[in-house]
Amino acid sequence: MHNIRIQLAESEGALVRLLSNIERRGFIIESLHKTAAQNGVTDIAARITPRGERSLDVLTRQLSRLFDVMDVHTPMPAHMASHAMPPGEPSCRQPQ
Amino acid sequence: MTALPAAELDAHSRPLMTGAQAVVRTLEDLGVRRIFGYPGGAIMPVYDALVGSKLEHILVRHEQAASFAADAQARLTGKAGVCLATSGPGATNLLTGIANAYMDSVPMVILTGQVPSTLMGTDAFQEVDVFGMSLPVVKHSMIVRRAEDIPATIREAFEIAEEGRPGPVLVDLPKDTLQASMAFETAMSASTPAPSRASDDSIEEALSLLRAARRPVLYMGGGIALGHAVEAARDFMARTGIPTVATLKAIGCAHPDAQNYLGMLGMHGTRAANMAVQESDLLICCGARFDDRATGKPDQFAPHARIIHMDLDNAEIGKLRGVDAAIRGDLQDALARLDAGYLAIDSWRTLCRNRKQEFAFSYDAPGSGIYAPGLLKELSETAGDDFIAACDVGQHQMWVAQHCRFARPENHLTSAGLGAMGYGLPAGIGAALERPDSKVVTVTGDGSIMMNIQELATARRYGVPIRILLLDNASLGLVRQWQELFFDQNFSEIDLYDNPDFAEVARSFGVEAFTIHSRDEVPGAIERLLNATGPILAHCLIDPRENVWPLVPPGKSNAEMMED
Repeated sequence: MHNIRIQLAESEGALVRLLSNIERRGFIIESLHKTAAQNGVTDIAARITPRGERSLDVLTRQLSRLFDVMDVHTPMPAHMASHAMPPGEPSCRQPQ
Repeated sequence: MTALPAAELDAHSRPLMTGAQAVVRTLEDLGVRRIFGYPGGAIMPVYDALVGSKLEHILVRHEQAASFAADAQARLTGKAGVCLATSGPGATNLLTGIANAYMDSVPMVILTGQVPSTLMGTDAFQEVDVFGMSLPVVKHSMIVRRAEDIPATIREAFEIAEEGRPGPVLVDLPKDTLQASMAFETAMSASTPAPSRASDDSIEEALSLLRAARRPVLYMGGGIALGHAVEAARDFMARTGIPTVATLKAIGCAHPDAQNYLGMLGMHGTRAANMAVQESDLLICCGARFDDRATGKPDQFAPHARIIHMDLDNAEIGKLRGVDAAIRGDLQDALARLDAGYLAIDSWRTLCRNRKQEFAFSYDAPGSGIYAPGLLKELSETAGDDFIAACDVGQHQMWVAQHCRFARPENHLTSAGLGAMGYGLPAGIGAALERPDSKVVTVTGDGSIMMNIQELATARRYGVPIRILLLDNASLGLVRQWQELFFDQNFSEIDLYDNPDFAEVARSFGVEAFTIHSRDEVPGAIERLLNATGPILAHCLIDPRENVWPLVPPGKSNAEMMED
């Protein structure tokens, strides 16, 4: 389980875009808190769990590139959050 | 007309117009020349405003074709392609094309009509939540709630679509905002910020890996063309002599005659390319994303290699493979700075070159039937550097990737990430409209062409100089190949024995067409295709048993290639 905090512009569809990205990239949203917007900005705090071997570090960067997302913060140190994936290792194994 | 008479100004001397007129005027101001679309109820105000505008509107016969044609134009120009459709079914028909652009990072602006704001959310006639439906396949999207926001929103859509890693941006336009009156202010030209520059530390880190490597391989991806880094990549190849492989999207990045270019890697890649990657001790991934079709079994991909990953999109670093050095930023700049001096890799380079020769494709297929790989090779070589292929999806797509010669990556239009059958014909139309003097050839199959065959009418209407090479094996060939190889020859729903006579179909649309059956007809067919000035279709009957080789079986390592 990871804690993640996101600063989000309060624009139409921003929240659903953010949440659908978290789920689509392989994380379960265990709990969620959203503040009322102040000056057009809202704070989201969530506890999320990866469904498989997914890196929180990669998710953080995937969320950061969304245009409504102003900041992403993971209280856990990045090297722990990313499952300390050693260089050269595949980070996602999908049997096909 | 796009603007009301000059007398109708507001108190600040701004022209008064409707939201729909503002849409058209903004597109004109942003320098858009051509849009692809199909009218319908909610978008009718925009179609009303299009009459007399400077925009060239291409009427397709299915909205999906509008999105594919806009995609192809964008790939050729690097500027956002524009497609337009109405709400509901018009918008849903665009979705495949939007997903295609998203998967291949193509800049596109999608304008959809929407039911009036007051009816949104009430299940009104032709209402779908296209904003919600497209969320996973757009770079960004907006719903315009006020007419006066239209110019700035559309300008922003172009900026977002084209900046950084490009992608599709959807703007949903409720009908009431299109009909409302507003005071127009010109949207300033869309400006995209310069891409970020990789840090000195990351370059130094990569250089030390490069100097220590004895078996390095450059793994080129579509980001090289998107990042205008083709010349920088070719310079890097020439400077270092590093053996190089390309993804499907990066074909054409290396000069086709470059000695150290080993071809495409992955499932249908060359043996020389896959062996080089598997044996490498350093893989320089440049603008690629370790897609499963390129890597095969991920934990056995380049198992001995350290990884340098270069990408403008920070989110790609480490997504599927851990890295030893990450270069985040502009690829053109980073490749130029990656100058390691002399590399002691002569024996490795020689080994790779020898394998390239040893495993080169052979074109001496027995029999007198048309051999598609040979035909495609001859076609592209005859057409020369102006050859542009718009591929559909299937065996023919892989044969184009393996056997055609491309002078530039933009000249190879292919639905790489999505693998969308139906792309070829509308993409060819978009390409031939943009580059009428090039040799634009849609390479398609009897399965794929039926997914958008109605676009023959578009090609005919506008006299588009598109050559359609239809490789007809009377089956869904790639599915048939997999059923033969991996499903115990349990052939299921792949037999297209009752196809129509495609030449007759084309002629009924008013498109010139002919059919060939044997290999000795190929040179004449190529000449006739390339000399055509309007739409033309060559219907080529090929052996249904022909397969694409080599092949890495699904779920296997790239070291386990199957050959014929």
